[in-house]
Amino acid sequence: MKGLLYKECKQNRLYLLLTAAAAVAAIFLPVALCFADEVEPMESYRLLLSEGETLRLIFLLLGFVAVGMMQGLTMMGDDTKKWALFTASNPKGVSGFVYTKYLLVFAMSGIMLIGCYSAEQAFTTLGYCVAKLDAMPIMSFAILLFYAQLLLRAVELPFLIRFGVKTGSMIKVIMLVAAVILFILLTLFGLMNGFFLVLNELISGQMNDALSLAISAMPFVAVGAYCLSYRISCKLYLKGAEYYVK
Amino acid sequence: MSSKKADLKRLVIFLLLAFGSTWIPWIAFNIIFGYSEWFESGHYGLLVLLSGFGPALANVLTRKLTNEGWEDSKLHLNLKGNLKYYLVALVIMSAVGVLSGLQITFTYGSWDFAEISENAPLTAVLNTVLGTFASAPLFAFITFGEEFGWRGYMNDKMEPLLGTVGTCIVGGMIWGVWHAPLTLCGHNYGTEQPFVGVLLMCLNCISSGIILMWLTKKTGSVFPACIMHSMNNNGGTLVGNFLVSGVPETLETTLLDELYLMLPQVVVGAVFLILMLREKRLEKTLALC
Repeated sequence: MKGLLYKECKQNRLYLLLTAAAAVAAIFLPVALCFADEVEPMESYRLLLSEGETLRLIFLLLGFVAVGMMQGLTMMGDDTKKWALFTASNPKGVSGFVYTKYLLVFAMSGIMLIGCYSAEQAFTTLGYCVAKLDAMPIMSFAILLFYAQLLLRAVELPFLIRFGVKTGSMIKVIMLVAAVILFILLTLFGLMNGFFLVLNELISGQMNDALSLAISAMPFVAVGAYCLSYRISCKLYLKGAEYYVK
Repeated sequence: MSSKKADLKRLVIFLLLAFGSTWIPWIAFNIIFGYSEWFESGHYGLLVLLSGFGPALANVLTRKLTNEGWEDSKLHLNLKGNLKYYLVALVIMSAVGVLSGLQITFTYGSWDFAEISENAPLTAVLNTVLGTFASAPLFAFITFGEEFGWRGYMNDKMEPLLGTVGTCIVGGMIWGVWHAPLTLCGHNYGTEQPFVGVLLMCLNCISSGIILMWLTKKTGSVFPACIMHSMNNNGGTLVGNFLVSGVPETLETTLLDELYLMLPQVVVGAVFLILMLREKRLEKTLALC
């Protein structure tokens, strides 16, 4: 297992570093934007600290999206027949290899969260030292994004393992496009009003009991789905290997 | 150099580094900013975060200075076969919280189920419990700064010198005294009797340190201890508040009350100490066979 973990870390060290960088960038890019304002940079910075949580949340979301894309890329290079057969001949076998992949993806989300927390503490301290203003904490949103990312990877990884990165990514894009088209159609026919009401409640923070309970339960669903996804991927791996291009 | 002498040397170096790397900044921040401004207000979150990593830094530096290497660093997750201990780490503080809640109700109030269900509707309880269990373990990386030092290094070096019980007591006291620059300024126990606060902190650290030590020994990893510590720091015990009823709002607790309220944690700690001693005896018997 140590060898497999070492291989994953060595092979994906760039993505691991970029994940940490994405976390710092997600928190500090809004600050950089403020200081890009040539007229009144300090005023923009004050505005960011006091009322800029929406902008900060957007950058946080973008950071998580970027990390999500990198998580998919960690499968690249290992979707070959030769490697699959070599893996199957290892003492730890398929389950060991898939386990390290899932651990790596989880670690990337973890690094993102830890990076965001540390960068946010730096952001808050800097904001107080420079402008004597308290920034609105956004870590609870980061925690939600962390679990949402876990849930999305739980769905995506079995496809990448079954069909390889190239075909798996195409399937993912097709599914995303289909979901977007379905969403637009349902919205046009007025069938998504309930969803927008829920979204409104979520943003305004005035959630009803059922919604708040659903959000509280989401992390456990995500963790459960991630474990289940690992089991499914273990079963799919060798079947998928037959279809790998090389 | 005999093994015990080497352990003692490493322990002394570790403690000097752990206390030095934490106390110097803490005392400096207390003087420069004032305790409540830098620690309680959240204005200087980065300083709070970084200064808590003193014991972890001391572990790294001691290993480097004494050429000890990284064998038995306890940095492996060791998940296989140990998931039950991770689960214990997650729930144990909530169990202590439930016992504390019942203790408060039966000592200062009265059991009134109607009041309990009115104050704590099921959704609110579920939201709090699920929210805490989902978020608190994620902050285990913060408590890693302490656990990697105390459980990951100090206990290992202390146990051959003082035995298991000695390590629990002396190690817990050292951990409690390490908090002193904060405790003396009112952290956890107020400013009325700061030195009694330090003593209470020591007792708190001894009892929770026993459970943390048990988790670390069982799994060979510091991560379950980090999770339990994080659950303790981030509201794992709050679930017990839902069981409090009939307590007058004007009730003011003294430090003696605080000592009494520590009873559930002390009892749970004692249970884990007995478990640890039994396992050690069993290991010795097996080794003789």
